[in-house]
Formats: sequence, C-alpha cells, structure tokens
Amino acid sequence: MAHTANNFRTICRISHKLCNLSTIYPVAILKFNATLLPMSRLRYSLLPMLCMLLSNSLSAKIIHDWTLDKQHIKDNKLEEIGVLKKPAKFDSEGLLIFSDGQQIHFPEETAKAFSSKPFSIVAKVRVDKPQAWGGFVGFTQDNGNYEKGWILGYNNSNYTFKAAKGSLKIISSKKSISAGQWATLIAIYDGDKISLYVDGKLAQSQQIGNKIDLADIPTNLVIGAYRDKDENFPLEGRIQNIKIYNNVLDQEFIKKKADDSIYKFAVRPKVAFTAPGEAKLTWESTHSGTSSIAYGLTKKFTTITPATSTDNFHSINLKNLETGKTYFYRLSGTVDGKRKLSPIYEFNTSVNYASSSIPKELKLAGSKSDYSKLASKLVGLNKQKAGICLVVGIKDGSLALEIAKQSKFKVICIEKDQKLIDSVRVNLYQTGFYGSRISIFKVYSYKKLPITTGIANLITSEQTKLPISLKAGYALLAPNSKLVILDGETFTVKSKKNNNTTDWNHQYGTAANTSNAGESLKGATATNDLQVQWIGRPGGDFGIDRQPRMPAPLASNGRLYHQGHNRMICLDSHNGQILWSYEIPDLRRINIPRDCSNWCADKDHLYIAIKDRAWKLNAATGEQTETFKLTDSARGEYDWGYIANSGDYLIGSSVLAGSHLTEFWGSQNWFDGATDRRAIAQVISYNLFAYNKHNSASKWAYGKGLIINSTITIEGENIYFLENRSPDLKNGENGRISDNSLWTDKLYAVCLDLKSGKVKWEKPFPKLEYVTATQAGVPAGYGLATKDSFYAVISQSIAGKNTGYYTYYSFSAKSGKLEWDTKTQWRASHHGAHIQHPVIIQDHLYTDPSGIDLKKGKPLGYNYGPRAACAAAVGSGDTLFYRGLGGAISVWGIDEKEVTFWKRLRPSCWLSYIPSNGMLLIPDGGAGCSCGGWMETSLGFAPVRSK
Amino acid sequence: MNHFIKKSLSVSCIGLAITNTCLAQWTTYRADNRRSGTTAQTIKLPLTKSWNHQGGIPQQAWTGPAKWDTYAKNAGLQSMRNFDPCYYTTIADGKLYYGSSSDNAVHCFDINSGKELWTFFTNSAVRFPPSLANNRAFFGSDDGHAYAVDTTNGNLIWKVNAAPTTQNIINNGKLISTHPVRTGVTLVGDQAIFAGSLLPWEDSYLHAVTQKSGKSTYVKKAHGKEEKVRGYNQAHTGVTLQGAILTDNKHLYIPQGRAAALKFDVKSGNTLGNMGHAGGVFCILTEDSQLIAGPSSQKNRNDQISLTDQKGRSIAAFNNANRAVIYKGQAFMHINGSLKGLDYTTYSSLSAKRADTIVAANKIKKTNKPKYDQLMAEVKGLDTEIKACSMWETPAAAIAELIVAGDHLICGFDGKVEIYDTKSGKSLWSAPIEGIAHGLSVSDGHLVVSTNKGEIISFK
Repeated sequence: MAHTANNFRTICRISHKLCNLSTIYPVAILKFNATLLPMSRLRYSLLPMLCMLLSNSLSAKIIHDWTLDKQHIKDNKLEEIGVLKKPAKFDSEGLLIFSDGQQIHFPEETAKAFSSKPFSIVAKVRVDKPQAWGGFVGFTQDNGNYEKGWILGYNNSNYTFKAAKGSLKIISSKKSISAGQWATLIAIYDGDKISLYVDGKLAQSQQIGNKIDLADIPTNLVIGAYRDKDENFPLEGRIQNIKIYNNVLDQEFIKKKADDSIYKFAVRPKVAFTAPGEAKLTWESTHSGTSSIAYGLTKKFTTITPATSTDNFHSINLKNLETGKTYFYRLSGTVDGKRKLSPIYEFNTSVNYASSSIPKELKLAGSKSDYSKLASKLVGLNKQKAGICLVVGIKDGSLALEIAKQSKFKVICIEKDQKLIDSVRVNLYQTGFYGSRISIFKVYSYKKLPITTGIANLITSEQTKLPISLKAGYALLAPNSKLVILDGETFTVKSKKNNNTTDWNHQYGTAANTSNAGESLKGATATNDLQVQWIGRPGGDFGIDRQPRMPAPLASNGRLYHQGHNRMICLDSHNGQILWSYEIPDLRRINIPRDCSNWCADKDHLYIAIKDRAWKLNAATGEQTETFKLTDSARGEYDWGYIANSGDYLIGSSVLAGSHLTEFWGSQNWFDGATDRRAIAQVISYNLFAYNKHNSASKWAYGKGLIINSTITIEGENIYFLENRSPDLKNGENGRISDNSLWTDKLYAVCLDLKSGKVKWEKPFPKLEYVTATQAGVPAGYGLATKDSFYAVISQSIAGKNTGYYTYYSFSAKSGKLEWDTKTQWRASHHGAHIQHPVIIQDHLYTDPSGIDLKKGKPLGYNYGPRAACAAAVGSGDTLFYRGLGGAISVWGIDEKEVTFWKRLRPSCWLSYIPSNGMLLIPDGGAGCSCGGWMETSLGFAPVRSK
Repeated sequence: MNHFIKKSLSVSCIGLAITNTCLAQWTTYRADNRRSGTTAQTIKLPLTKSWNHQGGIPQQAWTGPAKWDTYAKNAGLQSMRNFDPCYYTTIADGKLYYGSSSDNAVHCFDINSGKELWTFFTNSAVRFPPSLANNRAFFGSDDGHAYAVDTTNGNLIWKVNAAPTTQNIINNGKLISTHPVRTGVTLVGDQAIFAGSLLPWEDSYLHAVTQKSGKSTYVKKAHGKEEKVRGYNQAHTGVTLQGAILTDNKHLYIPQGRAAALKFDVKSGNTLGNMGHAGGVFCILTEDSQLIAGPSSQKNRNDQISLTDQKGRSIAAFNNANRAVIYKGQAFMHINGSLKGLDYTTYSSLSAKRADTIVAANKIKKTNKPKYDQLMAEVKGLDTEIKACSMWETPAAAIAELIVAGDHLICGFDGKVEIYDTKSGKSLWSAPIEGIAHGLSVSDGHLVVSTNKGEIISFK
C-alpha cells in the first residue's frame, strides 16, 4: 500500500507537469504509467479516472463571464439570456445597482450544464446592507426539507457558500462583511469538497461528497438574490463580475486574486476642518512613497492633487470647499511599481464648524495702539487658544480684536457705556467679523451680570481696572481658566482651579465600568437642581442615528468628546464651544453592549482605536502625536479591540479583523432582540497587552483564551475579565461568538496585575442557572469593579419564556473568591430592559427595574423609575439618570425616590449623557428617532448656583 | 395630476383667494400675517440686478436634521426648524430691512440705491425681519427682547423683556436669553405680539403689548371714548414657540418646529390646542383659517405639506411637496420634479366629493354590488375632472421658496431665481445667483432675493 501510495504521489507530480504542457494529457499519462509501474488490473483501471481528475483540476476554463455593467446589459438582459427583474439602473461607475428587488434570472440549463461536476466561481461583490439571507449567484432550492443546489451568498455579516448533499452544507467566512467594501470571493466545488476564499484567503472548507444534489423542480440560476420557489431576499449592493469555471482553480490563481484586491491602507484617513471652506486631510499608509488624492462632489472626481508625503505619512490641504456638501475622495499610492487605489471615502462640509481667521493686518478705524504682543501673551495662557474669551470693560475694542485675531476664541466684550458701545460696535462691524468672531454685550450694571457662570476660558479687560469684582470674575471662569488683570504693559494672572469635578474618561465612567465617574453635581437629585449652561451644536446632522448603540461620549479636563457618523468632535465642556473635529471613515463601531468602546481619554490626550492601531491625539489641539500599533504579525489579521488607560499604561486587546459591527441600516441594527443571535453575539479578544502611554514602550501581553470584551474592567492595579478557554471556540477563529458555550463551557473570571500582566487569580465561573449550551441565551454580560470587588453581571434569558434574569456575581478583588451571587428579574425583554449596563451609586448596583445591595449581596427590594424605552442609565453622587416614561431623560434621587424629567429631551439608544466635569453633559445622540418631537440638540447642564 | 389629497375637503373652507391686505408694500415676513407670500403688486420684466449686499453667513438657530431614520429606513429627512436659513426682508416706504443672525442687528437700506441707512444692534441674533407700521420697525432678538425702533433713524423707541429673568446662556458662541424671541413680532390691531421660548421643560411666554409704548395695558381713546386695552404675558408650559406667528386677527397660530403648531386666542393669549400634525416652520394660513404646514414629522413621507382645519384636524396631505403658495383660487407647488399650477378651488371641491364617494362606496361594497359599481364609475368620472384641474405643469428642480406677485410666480432655487406666468406656467425670466434663494420679497417694483450665503440681491 505504501509502495502504491508513493507511486500515486509520483504519478500526481509527473501528471501535473504533463498537464501543464499538453491538453492531450489523459492518453499520454496512461501510456507513461503503463511503462513505469507494474500494477494490478484494478490499479490500471483506476489510473485513468485519477488522471482525469487530476487533469480536470488543473485546467479550469471559463464557461461564463458576466460583467454587470452598462456595456454588458442591454434591453434589460445580461448577455442576451439573463433577464433582469427590474428596469436596469446604473451607478456613477456604470455598475448595475442591486436594490429594490433587482436580480437576474437565467434558465436552469445555464447552471445544470456545470453543477453536476467540479466548478469554481469567482465573484467581485459589494454588500451595502447586510441582511439575514443574501445571494450573489445561486442555483438552489431551500424549502424546508427540500434543499438542493448551491449558492454563493451571505448570512448577516459573513460570506457563505452552500451546496446540497442530503441537506445544504454551509461554509462561511470568519471575517465579517464590511458594508460598502468590495471583496473577491472564490467558491470551489472539487467533486468532493466545497471551499470558500475571501480576497484570496481560505475561509473554510468542508467535505460534502460526490455530486451536489440538484433540484428536480424548475429552478433558475439567479444573480443578486437568495431566491428559490418561496423565498426572495434580494441584494442591496453591487456585483462587478462573476466568472464560472468548469473546474477547480489552482492555488496560484487564487493567490493572484488576493494580490489583485484593492490597496489596503494600514489606517484610514482623517479630515480636519481648518477654516470655512478649508480642510486638511492626513493619512498613514502601509507602503511608503508618494501618494495623491482624487476628490470632488461626485464619485467622478474632478480634482487630482499630489500629497505631501514623509514615509508612510501623507497630508494635503483642500481649499474652496462648498458649504453643506458631501465630498468624495480616493487616495492612491504605488506598490511595486503598480498604482493602487483606496476605497472611496467621503466627508461632509455641513459639519465644518471651524471659525474664520481675521487677517493680521486688520485694524480698527482710528486705532493707534498695537496690542499684538500683549494679546499674544494673553492667548498663550490657554493651551487650546479656543473657547470663550470675555473682555469685561472696553476702551476701543482693539485689544479684543487682537485677541480674536491671534486665536480661535469667540470674544465677547461686556460693557455698560451705551455711547462707547455704539461707537465700538460700528468700528467692529466694519471689519466684517462682528458677530461671528467678536461682539459686544451690553449690560446695565457690573454688579450682577446677567450671564450664566462658569463659561469663560479667559477673562480680561481693556480697562486698567476690572469693572467687576474678583469674586464675580472667578464665578464667570470655567475651571482651569485664567483671569487677567492688566496694568499697563504688565498683567496679573489669576487661575481658577478645578475642584471636585471628575472625568468620564471611559465608556462607563472610568475603566472600572461603574457608569458613575463620581461626579457630585453638587447634590442635584431633580431636574430643577440643574440649569442649562449651554445649548447648541452638534445637532441632528452630526450622528448616524440614535439606534445602533454607539460608544459613549467622554469628558476629561474640561473637554467633551463625542462621536457621530464617521466623525468625532471635541467641545469645551463648560460652554459648548467647538475646539476641533475630525471626519474619520474608519471610526465607526456599534452594538457596544456586546463589545467595548473604541476610545478613552486622560487629562491631556484622547486615545482612539482605528483598525489595527490606536491614535494618541493632543486633547487641546487634536493633533495626532503618536500611533500605537499591533505587532507586525497581527496587522492585517487583527484589529485593535479594547482600549483603556490607567496611570502610565495604555491597555489594548486584539480582535480578529472586521469583528466590530459597523452596519446601522434597518431595525435589525438596533440589536434589541433578546434571542437575536446576531445581536447578542459577543465580540471577543484574543489577547490583552499594555504599552507605556508616554513613550509607547511595550510592557506586556497576555493571551490564553477568548476574552469577552464587554467584561474587561480595570480598577486600581487589577485588570479583570471573563475568559473562555474552550479550545473548540478558539480554534473556530471567529471574532463574534453567539454560541452559548462562550458562557457555559470553561468560562473563567480572571484578574491580572496591571503593571506586569501576570495572573493574580483565576476562578472557574459558576454555572449559569438558565442558559445551557443549547437553550436560552445571554443577551449581555458585563464586568465592573470597586476597590474591593469585581462584579460580573450576566443577563440570562429563559428558554420558551419572554423573560429572564440579571444574575450578579461578586468576586473578592484580592483573592477572587466568589463572595455571593444573586438575581433580579427583567422588567421587560425589549428596549434595553434586558441588557442594561449596571450602575453603582454608593453601595447599590442598579439594572432594571431594580438592583442589588452590594453590602448584603441581596436584591434591593424596591424599584426605581420606572425606566422605559432604550438607553442605558448612569449615575452621579445621589442620582440615577435614565430614560423614563414618555422616553425623556429622567432623574431619580436615590434618597428622595422621586422622578423628574426633561420633556422632549431624548438620549441615544445606548449612552449619550454623562455627569462629569461638574456638569451633566448631553451631546445629541437621539436624532433620527421618529417617536417624538425631540429637541435634537446638545446641552450642558450645571448645578443651580444656589445649591 | 397627482391625486394627493387624501381626505375630504370642505369647499367652503379651502380654495378662496388670499389677497394681500397691504397692496403696496411687503411689511412683514412673507408679506402678511397669514404668511401667504403673495401680493397684488407687480414687477416689470425683464429685471436687472440693481444692487447686492453681503451680510455674512447666517448663523442658524438649529443645525440640520438627522440624515435618516435608520430604524424605519426613512431617508432624506427634512429640517423642521429652518426658519432662518437666510436674511428675509421687509420693505416699506422705499426702505428695505433685515435682521441678522450673524451680527445681531437690524439693518435698513435704501431700496433703490442699496445704501445702508442705519443699523440697530441688539445683544444677540435677530432671526426675522422687522414688521413695519407707522414709521416703526418691530422685531425680536435672541437676547430675549422685543424692540420697536424708529424707521427714520433707527433710534430705539421701546424694548420689552420677553423672559421672566435677564439671565443669558451660551448658544453656539453667542450669549442668548433663556427665552429668545424666535417668533418675530406680529402686529395685530394696536398690539405687537411675540413669544420668548426655547426649552419645553421651561415655561414660554406669549406677550401682547401696545405698539405705541410697549406697555402691556393702556387706555385707548377714540371718538370721545376711552377703552382699556389689555395685553398679556401668558406663560405656557411644555412648548417651543419658534417660527413666525400667523394670525387671522381672531386666533394666533405659532409653529413649534419639531412639534405641531399651536393655536391661541389673540385677545387673551390662552392656548386653544395644537394643530394636528402641522409640524415644521413653513406655515400658511388660508383665508378660511386652515393651516398649511410642513414637514409634519419624520414618521410620514418626508416631503409633505399638511392641511389642518380650525379644529386641529388633519384633513389632507400633499405628498412630495414641501412648499406651496395659494393665490386667488390657484395653488402652486413643486411635486415630483415639476412645478404645477392648479385650479385649487375646483380641485378641492372635486376631491372632497371623490373622497366622500369612495367612503360611501366602501360602505356598500359587500351588500350592494350594482350601487357600488355605479359609485366607482362616478369616482372614475371625478378622476377625469380632477385631472382637468391641472392648469399647467413644467419640469423644475427642487424649490426653496415660491411667492406670487400679481401674475408672476417667483421661485427660488439653488443657483437661480426664476419667474413664471401664473396662468400658463411659462418661464418669463430667470437670473443666476450664488447659493440657495430661500427668501423672496416684492415691493416698489423690486424683487429682493435672500440666499443661504447671507447675500441680499435686489433686482428691478
């Protein structure tokens, strides 16, 4: 047998070479083998068949080549026999638009001719809106037990290839579909096995046996839909080309297809608006060298411009951009002498909030003074040189104008003298910048200014004596801001410290995930304890929509950060002034309850995870100062998952590339269904690692099992998480796991040392009461910690019932000992009632409708609120903020146990209101919702002064 | 013709001509207190550009709307609060006025020369042009005050605080009152009416003061008699009054932006309920005091104007239309890529009859087939008649504004302004502009165009 096997291998090698040389191979091989090898008659009879098989697999020929564009579709037919089901519409690139049910039907003979033998399909496809069932090309029936044929398509976020042998066998991609991105798919049936490749890489293979079961009822070959006798799920996207081969494609061919795929950047670009009508685009690329941009108001780009490039970093300034328009752009680079193009990106100038610059040479009529040096010193006292500057008491407006010239401050002059006001206003009006950069606000008395306090980033006066008291001046200042009293050429600076306010610098408050950053709000427990300090942008046009459960805003050191639709913004927490912003195509991450956020902050920096790396941005200016990368081997295969900072450490994790969800269109992307497997699938990390965040030195890495992102928690010098150590799950190489065994099989609670990454303790997680490997499910699971304990809160559904429980587990921070566990029943199984992130206020932990006394380890025995509608709750000193009856943001005092609410004020469907920086900050996250006349604006509330 | 009226219409309520009570001038926002956008004044064609003024980019009160409702898969949402996309103008006695959301001032120009005559600054944004009467200009500001200034020199006559306090907060880099006046000032009889309003969880205040002194109550002397005229300062809870006030001198109708407009008694300022689904800030009050408004909400089709009766019942909707103007029994609106002229009186009457017939037919569908068939045949006949109500139709891009001046339908587009004959729909004149023509006004033979780029252009 061994001899025969060796001979077989020899035959294969020789045959392979012969087949490459000649098409008349079957006969040639027979003769050759007969001469070389004395074999039994059985072996001789097998050889021809073997050689046929070998020869067939090595000479795949194209039998159908379908390009779905204007040139190849005429009179609503593709290549004269494929019939379009809707009138053809083409996009700006000439490709057939698959939408509103469009699909193409070929007579069944087209598929029957090749489907009984080995065949290969190569398809270049794009899914714009993933859905539960989808098809690119198929010849199938999938009706209950009657499963026949084959189909290349997708299920939700994964590409699939199905072929029937007894029933439909399914293989799928590990990497998720990125909506709107092109992919080259290769599906092969080699007579025994089906295989699926995505962009040249093998996704999965499965043996199914000889000959696919074909339907014996009328069945079309269908392009652009998952279609059979009683099902029709048409594609929303594009198909550029489908080629069908009459045999198996070889590996060399497949590799070439991988190389042909679109040029991949290591990180996507970002766009900063620098002035009205102007923007700066910067990007990193995988390959160093020159690069250029093509851009315009349509995808037929009107302008191509080379970038300024240094190694892998490129930038370009764009001017004369029209207001309120979407611009499309594409980047190019050169790899091995070949020009490569990026996907098409876009940015929108409707959210260009950059202020106009005042020319340096502009002076007020009649002004003889030169305040440029003085203004420079004053402006330099503020790191970001932006926000609100109050000039209390004017002389002629010259200093105020000079401050506006040398900064991005909005300068508001406060003055009492009407005559002086009239003359200076006229002068300032004539500059063309009155109202937009500088204005005068008339007051009747300096004793009690009619201006809300805490809003100014800089206060000065043009007069030698500040007309208001020092106390009044301090009251007007925002924390960490300066009041400057002039004395001729010199000045005195008074600073207002930041006392007793806190930062919301991670998704749920701090990295400890208690949804409470410790902000006191001066004891506010009802809406009338808070008053609006600022209101305005960003508004409805900034975000994606309220539903996809996006990362929470952050606030640190007086700056508020907020994410929108592929964009982010930084505002002053105390006056809402926009400091800087970016359009970032690769920023988007959604369904955060089953994942982790993509950003965190410290006092001076913002850290954002983008694809396989993290950016460190200067908080004052937005300038990127550092890039933390995954290891070389991980890049391309993995993305940066979890991100947090604690002390000197930046903590990250790796997830399989494409694991984070980004789709947002349609009700399925509200992720609310308690038993929706796609919605509740957890994004998992394959390892955790740490950097020194100041010098980017790598500190440690840990990787044992699959770390559940939503449970990763840092408190003090401990990192906690739940980790599954089942080899089956790990080997599955799936970045999103909906399998119950994630929670039921070999689950551990783990504690690492923050500084060394070493395991401090690890404990098997208790068996779940309601969830088994095959029944019920875990809609959400979270980790949070206090100084003494790590808490895991697992929401469990009950099989066959429309209800479930929150189950709570308390582990000793020191030893990992399970101290207690308990449970409370869901209030409802929808609108987030079943997936609430816990909030810790004092010694109570709240979910919905009730919570736990952490000291006793027992349910509280009373409900709060009630909570209603989607959104997560958050806490401050004595207060719970949540979405209550009528859907408005509601306030519940822990001690008073009474509810108040703000009418028509709606948060996002996850977390968009944060008590921090001495304020309740609510950047808009609710726009798009059709269930009420919501305000769709951002606000900052401050405690009422009298409290 | 689109059969876009869904429910029954009362002939007596709709379709009567709307005429401008002040023929020679354009003295308030959109010509009159019904915001009809119509005037009997004519302009002589062809027009040539007379002068222009750049006022700085308008700083709108609110940002644009959400791009879409992804849950409901509803895209192309429209703003329901864009009452200040440009500097609308009012014109009287040879002078043009506008309020600026950028430089916080009201400006007065000579309509013929374009020379700026005076500027009156407030402490914050002015979002509507002043209403003009008796040599006075009346307007509101985000600083929480209503003002009356002398039109001859811009001197202040009076100002009234619309807010319960004098407190100011920050709004997009400006200090604004907690109760900015974003309704403009509407003149009714001897009174000036305005509201200070911002947040639905704070009370809003509806004011009526005398035009002469700004006082709430005064003694009116006429024909030897004295009469105490009482104004009011009415607090209202849970409302957001924004957009120009409309009135038929009996009632006030005040838009709320992202909620339905509200109806008030003009004498007392008491609320009389909301106007059905009449959301948005584009509003016209017909002669029969029915409110045309839109867009109503994001739940329905995005481009939609609704018609609400005096009882607040939503009685019709015009799909695929976001602007309309009605003049002397004719309606003009932009629908599905075409500008259309319609015999509104006949159309509405027939449509009401059609709707009633369908209701009657459906009642007997199962019990009396012959009668049902007869009624449906009548419906078919009515359809033919309804189709005949279309006067004309001409392809046109999406419209930003339309008004009527005499026999001219004047339309503002992105990049141009164009005039059509109201009877035939024939294009009579057009001129290119930069930006979107959101504001149009006609007076003294001038057509004044206001754009989203802050430009004001006079054609004569």
